[in-house]
Parts: sequence; structure tokens; C-alpha cells
Amino acid sequence: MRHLWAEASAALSQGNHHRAIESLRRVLSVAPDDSDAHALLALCLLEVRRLSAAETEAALALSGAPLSPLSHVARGEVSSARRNFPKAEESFRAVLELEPDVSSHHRRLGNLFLALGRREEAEAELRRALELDPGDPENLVALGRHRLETGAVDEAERLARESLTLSPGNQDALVLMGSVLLRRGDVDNAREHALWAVRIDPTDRGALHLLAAVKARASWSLGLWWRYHTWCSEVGSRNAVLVLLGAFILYRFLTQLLVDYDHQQGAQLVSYAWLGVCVYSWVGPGIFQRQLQSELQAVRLRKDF
Amino acid sequence: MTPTGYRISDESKPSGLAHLAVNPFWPFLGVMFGGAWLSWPWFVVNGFAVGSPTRRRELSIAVGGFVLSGLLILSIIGLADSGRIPDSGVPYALLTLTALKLGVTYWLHALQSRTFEVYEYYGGAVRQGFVVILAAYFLSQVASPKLLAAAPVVFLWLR
Repeated sequence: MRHLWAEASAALSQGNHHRAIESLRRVLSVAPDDSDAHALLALCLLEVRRLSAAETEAALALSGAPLSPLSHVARGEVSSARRNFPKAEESFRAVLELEPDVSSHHRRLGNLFLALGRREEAEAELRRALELDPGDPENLVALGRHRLETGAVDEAERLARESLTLSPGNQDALVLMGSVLLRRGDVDNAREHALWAVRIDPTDRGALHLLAAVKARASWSLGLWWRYHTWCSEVGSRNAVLVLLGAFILYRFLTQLLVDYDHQQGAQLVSYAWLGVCVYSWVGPGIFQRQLQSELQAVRLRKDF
Repeated sequence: MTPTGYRISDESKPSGLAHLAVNPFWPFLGVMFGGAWLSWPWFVVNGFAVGSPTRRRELSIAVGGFVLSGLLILSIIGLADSGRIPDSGVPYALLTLTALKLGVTYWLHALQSRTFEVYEYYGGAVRQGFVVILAAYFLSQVASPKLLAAAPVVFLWLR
């Protein structure tokens, strides 16, 4: 059993979530009621975007150990990813009641507030996290992200530099620094930081997001698609589909209306415009992905990845 | 390779129909090139083929989709017959049917895609659905005008 845990931990530390999932599966085959294994499995499944399974595992973890901070953390992270923000907040507050002086718990709650646009509460939590552990580069990065979002670019840069001094290979700090540079219009250096972060872990979403944002800057048409894609992620896929369905119905309504009022040319124009949107949304992601892949081919992975 | 030991909730239990499994993208295309008559039953069969843990839900959604679209058509016809919708308004009212069909199809696709990715990750066999789409397209081209003339309500319901 101990060797299975060691295997899972090694895989996790290398960022190999698929292998960690297999190791945790073996742990749970031997001990199906191990709440920590369920919680860790939930966090790994979350990393590979198997959200419904992650939710089930987090619920199993919490039902087995309602007083375990790890179970609450897993439930909070999964709820946040599923955009169930009240449940995420409830979990992060519960974990803070259990362990009020752990900086990472304050950071999680702060990041959640930041995602919800509750900036003042976010700042209070992120500053509290930094107070509790000023040497943790993740706390500096989290506050830096907050400052960048509120437009305090200089302070964000200072925090990014400080965290890179503490931990030069910190991926999140590199991504923050790249984001600061991109905000300042220094696309080349932003790209360098993104590639450096990808080299450390090519599966990291923050690094890939930054690299994609850099590529989107190079072309307005791809930038448009990138903005649309970012908007979809922000509103959630269900809402995005509802908007798309609404747009489709509007298009059909408009063409029918134009035909009824004998504006054949107008109807044709609307149809061409819709066709253009369809072709663009079909082709755009492919071109974008190809551009990213060509960039990623030059990346040399670290040896233990 | 099939996962052994502890089973994670989104993992499939491939059935004897596994040789029929296709990427859910094909049934999704089916609604455009054939119609709901092709797409929704195909989703259901595919759900059982890949052993989707949500296969019963997918079956309920497909059945519910047929029932709802039938009721919607009957309501539109009833409203048109009673004069509450003018003849010129019928094509607009029928747009709700299109929205319903697209919504159900997207729902089925979103539900099945999650399982399919895991099924594929563990090396499950996958067939191509191109031939079915092509056949359905030609069948629709040939049969649609005849069905539309003979039974317009059935045509609207199944298309």
C-alpha cells in the first residue's frame, strides 16, 4: 500500500496526472474507503478535466471524512471548476474553520473571490495568505495576479520578480511575469516566458493560455477567435451554447423575415455572413492549434517529465 | 486496455455492441445530414456500445426529445388551425422546433463526449461513421419530398 502511495506522489510531483490516477486507482482497489485517496483522485481528475468524475470522488472523500481539510479542498476546487461558486466558497470557508492559519487555504479563497470579481475580499484573503507565509512564491503570484487584474501593473511586476527571486523556476511566477510583459506590449519577452513555463510542464493551462494569448496578438483574426474562446470559458459551455443557439435562431428568423418582405438580396447577405461565421469557427481553432503546435515543437521538456 | 480494479464513475463498461462504437461527433452530424430520426437513436445505440454510465439518461433525453417535438408540432398546428398563429407566422413558430432539436442533440453530444474520451483513452475500438452519414444524406434527399407530400407532420417530427 505504501509503495502505491509513493508511486502516486511521485507521479503527482512530476505533473503526470494520468499516471497518478492509475496509482490512486490501485490504492482504492485495495482500500476503497480511503478518503485521502478519493480526494487526491478528485484533484487529479480535475487536472485532466474529467469534471463529473472529479465531483463524484470529492463527494466520496467528504462523506468518508467530513473533517478532513483535504476533502474540503478537493470539493472546493472541483466545485469552482464546475462553476458552482457558492458550493466552492462554502468548502473553502469550511477548510479555513478547520485550519485557519494555513496560507494556501486563504489563497484558494482569495483566488475564488478574484474569479467572482469580488476584488476587495480577494485582496484581503490574498494579503492574509502572504502574511502567514511570506516566503511562499505562490502567495506572491496570487497577489500579483490580483494587482494585474486591478490595473496595478507595476506592483504586479514587483511581485512577479520577487517570487522569481525566491523560486527562479516557478511556473506560475513565469506566467505572471509573461502576462505583465504582454500587458505592456512586450510580445517577444512574453513569448519567451510562456515557452519557459511550458518547458517546465507542457500540460499547465496557465502557461498554454499565455502562449495562446501571445499568438493571438500576432493576428487580429485569430485574436478574435481567441477572445471568443476566452469568453466561452468565462461564461461556461452551457451558457455559450445557449447564446449560439439564440444566434442561430435569430439568423433563421432574420432570413425568413427578409424573404417575407421580398428582400432576397438581404437574406442572401445574412446567409453569407452566417456561413462566414461557421467557416471561421470551423477553421479558426485548427489554424490556431497548428500555430501553437509549431511553437511547442521547439520546446525541450525537462528530463524528469 | 480496460481499466481494472476500482472503477471511476465516468468510465465506460463496454458491452457486446462495442464494435459499433463511434465518436459522438458522427451522430451529432447525423442531425444535420439526416435528421433527429437518425441522430438520436444513434446516440442511444452508441451510449450502450461504449457502455456509457449515462446511457439510461441519454435514452430518456432522446425519448423526451421525440415526445416534446411531437407535442410542439401538434401545438403549432392547433394554434394555426384556430387562427391564433397566422399562416405567415407558421415558419417562425417552427423555428422553436429547430431550436429544440438542436438543443437536445447538443445535450446528448455533451453528455456522451465525456465518456467517449475516457473510452478512447483506454483503447476502446472506434468505427468511422462517414458511410452512415453519406447514406442518410442520400436517403433524405430521395425520401424527404415524398414524405413531406404524404405526411408533413411526420416529416417535421422526424427531420
